[in-house]
Formats: sequence, C-alpha cells, structure tokens
Amino acid sequence: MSRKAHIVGVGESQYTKWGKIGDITEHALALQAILTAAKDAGIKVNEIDGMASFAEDRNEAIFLAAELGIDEFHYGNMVWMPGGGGGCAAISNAAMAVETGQADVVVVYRALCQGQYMRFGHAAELMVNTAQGEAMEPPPVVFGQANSILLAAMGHVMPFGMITGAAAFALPFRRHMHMYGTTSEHLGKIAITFRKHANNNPRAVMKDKTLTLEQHQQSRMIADPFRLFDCCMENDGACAVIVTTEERAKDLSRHNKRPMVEIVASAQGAPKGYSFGSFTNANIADDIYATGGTEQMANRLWQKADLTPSDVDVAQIYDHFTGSVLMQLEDFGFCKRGEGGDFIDSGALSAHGGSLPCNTSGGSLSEAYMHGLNHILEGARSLWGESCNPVKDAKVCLVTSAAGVPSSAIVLRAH
Amino acid sequence: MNTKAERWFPNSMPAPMVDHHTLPWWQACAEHRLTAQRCTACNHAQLPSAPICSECHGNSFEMTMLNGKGTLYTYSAVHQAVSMEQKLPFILAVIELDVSGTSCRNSVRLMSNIVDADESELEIGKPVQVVWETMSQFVSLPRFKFV
Repeated sequence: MSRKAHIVGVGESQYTKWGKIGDITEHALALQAILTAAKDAGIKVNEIDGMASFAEDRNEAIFLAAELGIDEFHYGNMVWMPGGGGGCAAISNAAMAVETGQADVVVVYRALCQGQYMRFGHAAELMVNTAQGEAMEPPPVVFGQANSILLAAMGHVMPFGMITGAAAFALPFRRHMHMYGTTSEHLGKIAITFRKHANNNPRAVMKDKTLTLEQHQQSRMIADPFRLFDCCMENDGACAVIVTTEERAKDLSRHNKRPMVEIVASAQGAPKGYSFGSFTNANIADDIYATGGTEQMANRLWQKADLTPSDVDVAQIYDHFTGSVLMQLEDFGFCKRGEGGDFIDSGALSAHGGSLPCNTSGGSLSEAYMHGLNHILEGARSLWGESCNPVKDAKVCLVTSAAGVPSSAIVLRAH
Repeated sequence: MNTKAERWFPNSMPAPMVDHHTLPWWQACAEHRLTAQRCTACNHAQLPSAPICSECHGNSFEMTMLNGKGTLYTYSAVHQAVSMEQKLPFILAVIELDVSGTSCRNSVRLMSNIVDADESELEIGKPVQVVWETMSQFVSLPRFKFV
C-alpha cells in the first residue's frame, strides 16, 4: 500500500532542566524542533501539510503552520487530556491522515517549557490560601466551581492531597507490591539501567550523572514507594516527528541511506470506566487496578500488527515512573502478570546484552521528559541504526505512551 | 462518633471543586453523612456522582447513606506538600467503602486519607472507619482511622 505511513525524520531542541530555557519561548522551540525534523527527513518545510499534537499542547498548529509558511494546511489534530497518554495516538492520527489522503506529510510535535508557565505538579499552589504578613483571619474554606469534567474529577481528589503523578501512580504500584512481592530494588534496577543508557547520550539531561542502586535506595521518598529516582524529570524542550507515505519514504530513504521505518500498527484507548485513570479514579476495576491499564490495548495492538512480544527487538516504554514501566511490561506480555520484578532481575532491559533493550536513550527518567515524544524519536533512531545505544539488527520497535491513564502505543518496523 | 472537631489538615489544602452533579455528595459531607449516588432503577452505585447511571443510563438517583466503615484498598505516604502548612508525610488512601445494609449492588472506593496512624501501621485490607474533619461551616471532609 503506497500510502502506508512511515516515519522519515525526527528532531529535537536542546533539552534542559525545568525552567532553564528562558531566553527562547516554548513556541519558538516548537518551530525549532519542526525545522530540525524536516531537515533530518530531507524534505522542504513547505511539503508539510498537516500537524498533530497531544497533551493539550499550547502551541496551536494553525499558528505554527502560518509561521512555517506552509502552503496549504490540510490537517490538524489534537489528542485530548494533559500528560503523556497521547503521544503515540498523535502519531496514529498522523498515520491515519496520510493513509486516507487527508494530508501527505504530517509533523507530530510537542514543546514543553513549563517553567515559563506552570509546572504540572504545582497547579495546586495557585489554590493555596497562604496568609501573608499580618496575622489575619484567613477566609473560610468554601467550594470552588469546577468548570469542566476534568476539574470536577480532580476537585474530588485534590482536597485529600491527591495532585501529583507520583502520588497517583504510587497507589496502584503499592498493590502490585502487596500482591506479588515486587520491591523498591526492582524499581531501582529500572532507574539505573535507563541512566546507564543516558550516560551514552549527548542529548540526555542526565548524561553526566551516574546512578547506582545504592544512590537510588537512599534517595528521598516522594510518594511511597516512589523515591526521587523513580520519578521522571521535568524539562524544557521540544520534539518533532515527520510522518509521510511509503511512496515518499522510499525516495527519502534512498537519499538519506536509512532503512524505511513503517508505522505497522497503532492502538489507543482505555478500559471500561477508566476516566483519567490513577489521577482521578479510585474506582478502577479491581482486576486491572495493579496494572498499567493497557493490557486490552496491547492485545489489540499485537493483533493489528500481527506480531507478538517475542518479535520486538527494542522497546521504548513510557517511563513517568519506574513502577509504571514494570506494570506496562506485564500489560504488553513481555512477562506474566506479577512477574515484572523477575523480568527486571534478569537484566532484560539493558541495551548491552538484555533480551529487551529498553529506553535506549535514557527515557523520561534520564534523557528528557517530553511526554513521551522523545521515545518515538528514539524508536525511529534505534531502527535507523542511529541510537547512542544501538541494538544490532533491530527491526521491530514497540513505543508506548503513559500507563495509568488512557493510553496509546505503536509498533515500528524497519525495512 | 467524632464530636471533638479534630483537625488534621490546614485550611490551605485545595478546596473541593464541585459541579451541579457532585454538589449533593459534598453537601452530605458538610452534614457529616457519607453517601454514594445510587441509581434507583438498577441500584448501581457511583462515586463520584455523575449525570447518568453508567450501567442503565437512568437519571433518577438517591444519595444513599453509608455506614462509614471500609477497608484500606491501597495507600501512599506522600512527602510532596500540597499546602505550605501541611505536616509531611501525609497518608493518601483509597478506601473500599462498605455498602452493606443499603440497596447498592456494588461497593465503591473513595480517595481520602488515613489519619492518626503511623506509616508502620499501613496495611492493605485493614478495616477503617470514617471520621469527619470540619474545614469550615461549608466544607467537611471524610478521613479514615484504623479501628
């Protein structure tokens, strides 16, 4: 099928710690990433005729399109909900657009300079009623008005202190520990593996910082059992991915001397009654509570791709929290439910000899937290042979978006 | 019954954000009544409240009073301050609420807190009982203690 969607180029801005990019706007970073990705693909910028993003990205496509001088805008798409559940769904939307002829070249992008706005986890501070200066009777606690379903859902849990991702995803992982005996050390092994990968990556925010299991175990507790090094970073930066037809990809592949990277299949969604998952929902069904909530979606993806977990050569697994990686590996069938700890113990995730090299550029834990779009960049790179931690003969790559919230995933194949 | 108006969290914690559908639950809390929205057609219970029943799509409900008992479903000792005046860590908890004695055909879980307990006491499955924290004349919040 000559319109089958392929990834032909990727690009990113510099990645820094949260708040460090102040001399260039988030908006300009988005443009930078898009221009870099177009160059990487070998296309002219005004070949782009569609744009897709996710996580309620602030940088609306229609304005970027005008600023990029795009000839005619044919397709724009946004995946609902904040956070990292929708990165792969954005790729899926781009793929659907090119495959159905809505557009020929779609760029998927995400730019994040939360320091210039407000950090996701600090949203509550705006609601804090802190008495300043003179001792005055603070006003009584009253109800706030929820102006959206999301605010009503969050408004039901925030009064109890449930605000951050760390707290949200600690809750299901605690049950995983209770049910299966998984330990904090298992989590530490995930963290140190990805950090090792980042230490080889000149783009990684943590490139110069090594991490030992002991350091992980001694790091401060954030939301038990998640310690500091169980949590992804918060960064400034931007990423972009160029998606186009097989026909165009063939031309470019000859020019770039790279294998073609096909988007074999994609899936997105959520189980029954999931709402915004662990962030707002205490009533996630018991049989999936201590999981990533992505098993049904994973089964759909394998079926559509006509592949099994054993066909995967390299995986980029969304790592907002180490515990979520572990549960999502089970969801996708890389090991049995409850055996994620043993799987980690086997050294499977290491790019240097593991059976499932994972997060080969360091992931959100150690490369950068771009809500998972950088995982897609690394997915393509690992199939082009351009990863800083190359996996020999890698042909099939799974990329996932955030577990514990409505999610998405894609399978990429080099040919 | 908690008659001493105990306080565990500062007033600067985020206030509940309510809409038309969830307001009755919060109003019941202000009266120190723990409730769950029950569909009068099929007895499905929902927390938080919603405009329709997810099972039969009916829109006739009763706010059914619960006995305030439950079990600890999961928890986390959270070290991230939500309010400047908070004591850390605080215990975030998902409580499986007891619906026995009501017509609710399913139990529901509530995000809340465990209070007056040390971290070492936290154990999934332990029985708990609601206690009310009066934040103001308008807002009370259910918290839970081990029994």
